[in-house]
Amino acid sequence: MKTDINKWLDTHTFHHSEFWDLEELVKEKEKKGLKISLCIPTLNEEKTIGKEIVIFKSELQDRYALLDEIAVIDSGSTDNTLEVAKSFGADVYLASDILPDLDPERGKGENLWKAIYQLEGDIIVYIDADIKNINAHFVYGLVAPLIYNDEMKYVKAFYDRPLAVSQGLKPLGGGRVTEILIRPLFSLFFPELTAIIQPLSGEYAVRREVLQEIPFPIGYGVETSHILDVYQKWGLDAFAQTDLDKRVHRNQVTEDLAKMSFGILQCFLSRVKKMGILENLPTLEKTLFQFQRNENKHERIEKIIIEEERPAMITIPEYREKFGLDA
Amino acid sequence: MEKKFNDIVELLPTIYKKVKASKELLLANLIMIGEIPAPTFEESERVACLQDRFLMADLNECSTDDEGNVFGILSTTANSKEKKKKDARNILLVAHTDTTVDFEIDHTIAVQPDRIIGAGIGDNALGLAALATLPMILKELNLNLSSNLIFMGECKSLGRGNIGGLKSFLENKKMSINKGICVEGLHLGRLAYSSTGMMRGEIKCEITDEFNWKKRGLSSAIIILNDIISKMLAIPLPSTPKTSIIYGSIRGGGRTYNHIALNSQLRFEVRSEDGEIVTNIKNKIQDIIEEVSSITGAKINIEFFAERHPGALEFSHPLVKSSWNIIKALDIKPQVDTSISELSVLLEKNIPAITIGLTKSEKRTDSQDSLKIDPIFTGITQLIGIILAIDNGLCDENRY
Repeated sequence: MKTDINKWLDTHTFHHSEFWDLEELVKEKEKKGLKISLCIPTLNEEKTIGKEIVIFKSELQDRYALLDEIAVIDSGSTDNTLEVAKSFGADVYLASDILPDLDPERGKGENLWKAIYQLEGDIIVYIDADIKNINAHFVYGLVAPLIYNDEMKYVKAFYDRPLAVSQGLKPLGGGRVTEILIRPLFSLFFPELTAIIQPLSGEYAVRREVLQEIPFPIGYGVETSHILDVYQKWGLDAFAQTDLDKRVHRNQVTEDLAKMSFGILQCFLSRVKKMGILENLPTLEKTLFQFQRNENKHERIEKIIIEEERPAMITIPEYREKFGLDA
Repeated sequence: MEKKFNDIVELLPTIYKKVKASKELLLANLIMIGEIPAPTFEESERVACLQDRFLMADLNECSTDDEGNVFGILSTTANSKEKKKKDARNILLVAHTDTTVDFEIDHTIAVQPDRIIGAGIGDNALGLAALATLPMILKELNLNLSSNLIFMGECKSLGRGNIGGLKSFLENKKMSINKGICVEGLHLGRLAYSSTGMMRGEIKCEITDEFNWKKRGLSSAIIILNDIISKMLAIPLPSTPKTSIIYGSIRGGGRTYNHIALNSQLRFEVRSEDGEIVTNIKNKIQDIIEEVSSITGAKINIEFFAERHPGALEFSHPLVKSSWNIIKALDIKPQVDTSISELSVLLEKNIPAITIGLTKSEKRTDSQDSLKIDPIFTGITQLIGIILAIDNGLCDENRY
């Protein structure tokens, strides 16, 4: 049965200011006996990580006991990311030290996936480490819908996304991959999912019962595949979204956005193939071709992008043992 | 029972520990307050943020006044048998909310393990963050003060604001203020207990398009201003009492190489330990303007928009001596300083007051301060030590 999108938007879209009463939120969290973990995936983020930890620890642990743990899971930074995070009181982990018997993979998705094993929370909230205008509402705005609404499972952030540019803030222009790739794809294949305003936002809060059931691409496709997998298993009503106002972050160059789009397309197409929506798809190539000008010649550059995928965490024996799922 | 000075010194290590344990709260307050732009006259958003923090800290009577200042009161917790509450001292803790940093400057703050970097955070987001965090630290310390602490985030302090927020408060206040502490981010160890006489002025020169470019030396507003400055530089300044003219800002022309500058502007400040000298210099500058204006025919305006009268506590004043000794007890070398800001207004109203700083800066530019984090804990310990000294009567004028 199709969801009435306008109705869904009314009931599943929030603004962080609706949850300003943190005292009330913490009471509700405690009443429901929920544990909440914050995971910040990092790779060379020494410039911004300290501020994030300070804000979250001060506002959401010391003042209001909303977060039970603040963890940084790092892909092997060569700068002082871990030292900085530790000095302000975060728990810090190297992704390669978590589930060390598995072959190591490198990528943001790997850190997010390993957080499910390492952290204790019933809800895990993921926040990127490169947000310049960080504020406590980035966390409580995402967690609150899950605390107040038992049927909601996956809350995504959306923003009026200014980019940090040289001459102050540019009010629009973020989310280019969303607008020219994801939304057209969703419109073609899954029109209901276009109700999710910023499907690629790196900030979301998810219940453990969902996280442990879905596979994790470790590269660019993690957000897209999550949406497709959660949608397929639990439907649109499992989602909610919160307006976090604005997010100031580093802009990405077009070449990088192309790599991102290539990775996302790999994930998307392999999923629709699995769902039986697109048949007879050829084997997907893993090489992205781009061009650059060298004096008067155009040169082709090849970039190999392979979207490796971790299986659902619930299939990992160490996880089942740690969380007593075989008992 | 009132504490003796040595009792307070003995408490300082415990206070320091509690302050240090509040590191994240303090830095979070600094980030939240400091990332809100607050040029003079446009401080309302920063003031609202500070008011939220005062409310969260359970201060009483959190409010803003017509001027835009924000207040909160930490009322005395002393047993009424020991001291009648109506007799409690009122100690004003004031930090200005406005900055000299414009809206268009990036206000993002970066936090490193040993320092914090951002625009205008030394002057004076750190002072405000200290006020926002202090109630929590005092609560943790369970000190039972017999004084009321009045926390004030002052607006309209800098430049043309001319300490308007504090002046308005002191004109209209309903309670007496026994002592004042002006809290500044920089520099730890500074102890100001006197204010110099000061006067700020702005000179604007304008010439018209039809101005005769053939007239040698008079063909530009820049040259006219240069003439004024040359004459100002020739004004004799005594070395005692200390007197100086600060040439702070100059603007002019601004189009291209080959267009005559039609306007120019100079902002300056005259400072002296003697108020009469300030007035004499002011008169001389006015004479210069009249002379240059009549020779060149250019339109030259001078405006004086801020004036302070010199004032001082004696070094032997118990507030100064106690503060000096608290700073020394924390192994910081005290630096005598003079002030032309909030302190001057308090002293003018005969309220014994001092200005202190909270930390050291590593590097400072017009748009970025790099503040050391560790010294902040000492800086706030010093503030609490001085509050305790006042609270225990060690700074009363009739003590000796």
